[in-house]
Amino acid sequence: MMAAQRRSMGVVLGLVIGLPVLTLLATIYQMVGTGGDGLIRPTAVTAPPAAAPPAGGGQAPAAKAPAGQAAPTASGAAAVAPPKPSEPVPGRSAQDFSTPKLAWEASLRNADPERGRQLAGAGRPEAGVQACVACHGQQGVAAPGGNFPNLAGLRADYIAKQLSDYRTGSRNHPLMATIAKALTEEEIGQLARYYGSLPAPAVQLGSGPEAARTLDVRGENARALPACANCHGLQGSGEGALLPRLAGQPKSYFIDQMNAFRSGQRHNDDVGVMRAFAQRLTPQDIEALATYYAGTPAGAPQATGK
Amino acid sequence: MAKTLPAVDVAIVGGGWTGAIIGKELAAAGQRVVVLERGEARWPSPDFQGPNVHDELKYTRRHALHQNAATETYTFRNNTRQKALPMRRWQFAYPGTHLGGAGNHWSGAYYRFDPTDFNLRSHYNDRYGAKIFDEDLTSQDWPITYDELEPYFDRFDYLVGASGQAGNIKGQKQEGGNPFEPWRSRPYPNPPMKVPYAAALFGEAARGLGYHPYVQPSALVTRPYVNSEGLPMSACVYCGFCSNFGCEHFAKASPQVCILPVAMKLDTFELRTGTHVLRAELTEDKKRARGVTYVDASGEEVFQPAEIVVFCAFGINNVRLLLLSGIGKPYDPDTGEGVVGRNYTHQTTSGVNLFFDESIHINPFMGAGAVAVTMDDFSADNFDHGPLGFVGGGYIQIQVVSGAPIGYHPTPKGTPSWGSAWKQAVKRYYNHSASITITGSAQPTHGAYLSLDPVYKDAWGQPLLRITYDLPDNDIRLSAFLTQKGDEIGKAMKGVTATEPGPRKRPFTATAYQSTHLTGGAAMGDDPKTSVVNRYGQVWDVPNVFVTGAALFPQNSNYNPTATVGATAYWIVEKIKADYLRSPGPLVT
Repeated sequence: MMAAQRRSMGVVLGLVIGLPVLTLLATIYQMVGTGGDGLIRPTAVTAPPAAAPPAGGGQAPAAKAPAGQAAPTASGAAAVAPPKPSEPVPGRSAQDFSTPKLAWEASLRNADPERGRQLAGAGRPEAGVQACVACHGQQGVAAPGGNFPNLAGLRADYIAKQLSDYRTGSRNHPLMATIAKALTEEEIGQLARYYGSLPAPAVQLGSGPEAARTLDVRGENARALPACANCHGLQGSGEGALLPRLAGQPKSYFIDQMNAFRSGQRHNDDVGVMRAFAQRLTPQDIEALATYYAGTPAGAPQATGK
Repeated sequence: MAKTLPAVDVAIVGGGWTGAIIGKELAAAGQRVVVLERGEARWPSPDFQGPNVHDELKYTRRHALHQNAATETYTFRNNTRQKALPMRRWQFAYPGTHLGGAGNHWSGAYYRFDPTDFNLRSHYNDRYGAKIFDEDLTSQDWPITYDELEPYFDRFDYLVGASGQAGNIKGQKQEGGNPFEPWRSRPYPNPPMKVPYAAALFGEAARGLGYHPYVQPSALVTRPYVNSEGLPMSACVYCGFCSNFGCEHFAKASPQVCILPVAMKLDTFELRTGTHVLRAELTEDKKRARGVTYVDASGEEVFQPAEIVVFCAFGINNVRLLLLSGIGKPYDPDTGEGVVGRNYTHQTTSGVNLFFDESIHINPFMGAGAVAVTMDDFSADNFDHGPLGFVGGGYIQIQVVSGAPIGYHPTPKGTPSWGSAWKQAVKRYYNHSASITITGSAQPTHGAYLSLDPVYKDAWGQPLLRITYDLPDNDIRLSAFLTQKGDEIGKAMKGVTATEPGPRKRPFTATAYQSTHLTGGAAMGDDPKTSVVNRYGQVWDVPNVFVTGAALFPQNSNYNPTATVGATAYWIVEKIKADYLRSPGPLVT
């Protein structure tokens, strides 16, 4: 009995002390920018696999867009063999008129943002829930230079969906999966409401690489890339409940996510649209977009020229 | 004096679906092809990107992608006793122009014609006796069957990335699909679209009444897709700016998205925009076309010699080109002789406006050109026509296209058309109304035809196309029947407080939109006395001229035309490749 208690105390202590230490180590690791297949992925743009990405979110899998296509290399040589046409996929019944229930929808109902604020600040270490502020910063603005996203400026629905997707694995990150699985439905709603209420960090876009500005407002016809702004709003300002703000997100976080879409590791996008777009972008495009959307803090001197 | 250019193998008039398909196929087969598009080049990027493309004033009210009625329009009359007058603005239909044509601003509703559409006259004769046809109807069989065309439907399906759930694969009924669907050799390449609320309510009510509703097939892609030309498309986002607009998401199938990028990489393929074709030039014996004359963007007249001329303009504009070129004998309604312009039809559309109580939130702005729940219980010959005494059918559906602010403000009958009472009604009903759409077949008559207008001319001094058309009694009876059925479903829908059925009435009016499905005038057939072209789209009298598009239809199906337009284009070009190039001459003798 005593031994069992001691053991469980040890586990709790281990979690309480261990996880922040782990987070700290991971952050340091991230900031010094070493590579490798560590707990936190490096931010260099990686090539998508030659094979099709895995099926997404219980929905139709992404098209085998660049199946026969040479993987973009770091130098971005675009050796493109004609892509193979998509095979038909089994779909929903044409006699099904129901609206799919959203897994996170209920959590947002009557959720108290103040409870979310408290949880974000203190966490629930005994359950393995780190304080969000440790990585995502006070007021949901992450420390510069890391690859942790700003949560301030994202919509409550988006945050709730991401937490829900970390649980199912359609969005994949070891730390976040642990945390999301430990959170209750109620807590997911509270955190989403809290972060959804915080103002986005002030940031200036508009300069940045020309390639990125072009992709933002025009897309590119030759690769069937629509303007990012069509869905993500002008200058990455975010649009609607589930199309996240990109403006002000750290460069390395953006690159990480595009890598995850390219490889299919992240597959919580609706029917695979971001996976397909990410695979048609070159590493240079992704670098440029990451720089562009990171922007410069408002008030800081803007870079002039291109 | 026209400038003469070096000869090409193939001159194609029009850069829409059929021009792109035929141009690409022939260029890939080594033919030197020039596609002459009267409009300007328009590409999804940069021309259709948001937010600028979401401009209802520009695209819907001012018809940015439609034929410029100030330079070229149609004249219209109901019958030969009237004087036809030119239409200053488009209301009854939206003929396309600019690259991609109507295949660019279309809605993407995607149906194959029914097998009985192809043998309409003989099928109804066999099942119901010849008396089912009113005397004024000139409906006739196609020279080809559904089974012959099926492989070409299939090919077009995988070009456009059609979305849907198959109901019948090679004769095997498929769970979850449309039980009335004609057989198809492969599944749809993409899954069905999502279902808007109004459409779901319709589906539930229709099912409750014993019908077989299903999600309408569409050419709006529902997932990232690589098409049969190796071109990527993306998923529709239901933005509500679809019909009349270009698609910024590479989701709506169009020649620009699905085929032209491949064609334009071929050395043998040339796209020439800003070229308004005046006519094909014939040899003195009128048995052969020498090429086409056009006016280029600088206003210069140009003669483009060619071995083959293919008319791929907007449906009935092909009929005008035939008439302007002196190809084929014009139809004379008094004698019934002649063929060019004969069997013109439109589409017998009607609707039922529905008003809901305020607990039902329709959100009409979340829509797409082709997102609908539809049903084929009264399409084609899927029901007993015997007691009804008309031929043809129609599908009944709710399609949620757009809640765009200028065009969409439904109010019940009796609401004042302006002032504070109108404003209050718009506020009350904007999010609490929907429409059941009924799309019916259209039969041709002796008195409905296309001809050159004797009075009015276009900006290039050529006679306008004159439309002489009224709805036949057959189609009035059809519309009354279908609209009644639609009204019954509307009344059974959850939350509906009032229905306003609006069956089509005579006379046909050119001032209300009814669809852009203007068909016939260059009917395909086995008999040169009742058709302009043979079963391969080849003009009987001038065998190096081919015609494509909805002008070939001897009468109109109740289904939207584009799948059949695409399938017949592939059917025609495959025959040209297989036989005509090897030995040019009549393919049917």
